[in-house]
Amino acid sequence: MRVPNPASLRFAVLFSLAASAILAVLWQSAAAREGSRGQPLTWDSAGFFADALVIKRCIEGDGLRGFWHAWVHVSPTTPRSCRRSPHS
Amino acid sequence: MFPLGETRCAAELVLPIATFVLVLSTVRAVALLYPESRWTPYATAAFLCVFPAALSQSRIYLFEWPFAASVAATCWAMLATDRFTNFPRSLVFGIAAGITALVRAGGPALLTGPCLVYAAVALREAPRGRKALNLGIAAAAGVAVAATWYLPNLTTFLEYIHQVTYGDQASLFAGGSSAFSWDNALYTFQWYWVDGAGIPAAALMLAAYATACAMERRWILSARMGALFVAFAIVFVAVIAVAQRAGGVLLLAIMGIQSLAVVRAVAIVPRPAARGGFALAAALLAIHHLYAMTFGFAVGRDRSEGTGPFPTFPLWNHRNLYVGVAGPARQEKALGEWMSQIVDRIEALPVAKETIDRPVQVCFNADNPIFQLHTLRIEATLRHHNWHGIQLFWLPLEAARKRQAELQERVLLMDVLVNRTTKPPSEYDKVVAIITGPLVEGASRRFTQVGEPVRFPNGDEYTIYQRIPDSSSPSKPR
Repeated sequence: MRVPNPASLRFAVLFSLAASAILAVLWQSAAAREGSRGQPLTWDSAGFFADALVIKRCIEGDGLRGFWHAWVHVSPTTPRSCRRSPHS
Repeated sequence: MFPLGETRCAAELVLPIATFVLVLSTVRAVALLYPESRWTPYATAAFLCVFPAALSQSRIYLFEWPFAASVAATCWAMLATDRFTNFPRSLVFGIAAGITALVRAGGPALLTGPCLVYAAVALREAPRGRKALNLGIAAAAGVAVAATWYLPNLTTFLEYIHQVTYGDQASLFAGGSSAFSWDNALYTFQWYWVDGAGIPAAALMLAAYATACAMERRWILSARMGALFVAFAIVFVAVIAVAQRAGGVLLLAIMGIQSLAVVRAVAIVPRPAARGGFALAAALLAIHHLYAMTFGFAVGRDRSEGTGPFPTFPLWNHRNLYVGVAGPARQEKALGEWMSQIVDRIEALPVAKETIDRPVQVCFNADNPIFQLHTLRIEATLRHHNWHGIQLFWLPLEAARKRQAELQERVLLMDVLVNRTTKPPSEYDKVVAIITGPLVEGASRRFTQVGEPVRFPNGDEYTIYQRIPDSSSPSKPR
């Protein structure tokens, strides 16, 4: 079997896939040790997950228009705690 | 999430995907910078991935890791434009830059350095007109993409940035009344290394560079590395101006420069034996980070410490981010179920009847990492409710008193109010009491308590209030 040239894109992709897989396995091992797997998401992580769910609902409910609305008004780039209510 | 369902695992899949994009983009970008060096790109990417900040952020569902990947991909796209002579690639770069700006608020700050330096280098040579045109079109494309979010949210975003860096919350988040300070510059530079390669790796880099210069009997000055340092300096100043104190993580997206600096310092050592020795030491440092952050001990420091370079200078930060954030709450069992009780109660309230156009407004005030506004939103959204939530933010007590009326106005827009109380009350509980106390107690109260507080296993109590319908006299608590 020919070993790809390190300068090639193919080699870079294989290297990146291998690195991602190894880091993912180590992540899962660490998550089991620290206890994060058994608990709900915390702080901003929970916020991003909630926003992802809301954006999905918007797309399901209103298609492209829903996506646009969610993109502008739900997108969580700014911490939500400082955002004004849409009725303010 | 569409094909995999509304699960946490489906959402967290973004993390390994981001790792792939980051590694691939770093490899290809460095290969374009150092085409003569076959292994520099791989060593740089591998070393970067085991920085404590990288290991922490690649394991927690936040936007820092996808953002770092996005910045790396944009830099790859930029370097692939062949100094902006290639129009299609310039356009791809512009769009990538726009997307990067959207991945994280303030994202453009991290792109300023690399983009300005590369543009300056590109425009030094002919054909300047064509390059400037391609660069202009790329910039316009980037701005157009980014504007989809920044334009409608600009006021809120700028308010937030000002508040946490120069406003009322600056003392809590920026370590003083102004983020742009010498103290903050020292703090950020220190943590850029402590959360990155670590102080021993910085020493190794300097030792390898000194050794290379001594062996060559001259100063080795690389124009490419010089340009990278200037790019870093620009980003550093931009970040200091608008950033909170969050360790080195805000600079994670440009830690590739740090990784490359260490790798190149080792690579230029001329004698193979000495180079091998430095490379081995760097590899051991990398493995040590990986071991400590995966199987080892959750050591590390509170990020509020060590602001001066000496004597409280940590060598590296192996703090486990999740353990640090979740604290004692992570030891408790089945905490998720408790949030269901609160959602059950709110669902049953007459004021909690939402319509498509009018979500139920919930103000949920708790500084528990797990039982907080967003956990409530997850539970409510999974039950297909249209609830909109806010949480009173952290303020010094004096600022809370000063802004009481303004924040009360915001709370008065709510249908439901949930306040957490601990024994003894935390500083945050006191802020909540200052703002919401007059709204839930006394003759002129505007919210009425619903049932008994929900008691959580850790002793905290969550009291639910509902808005009193507009009337001249408040109703009595049920």
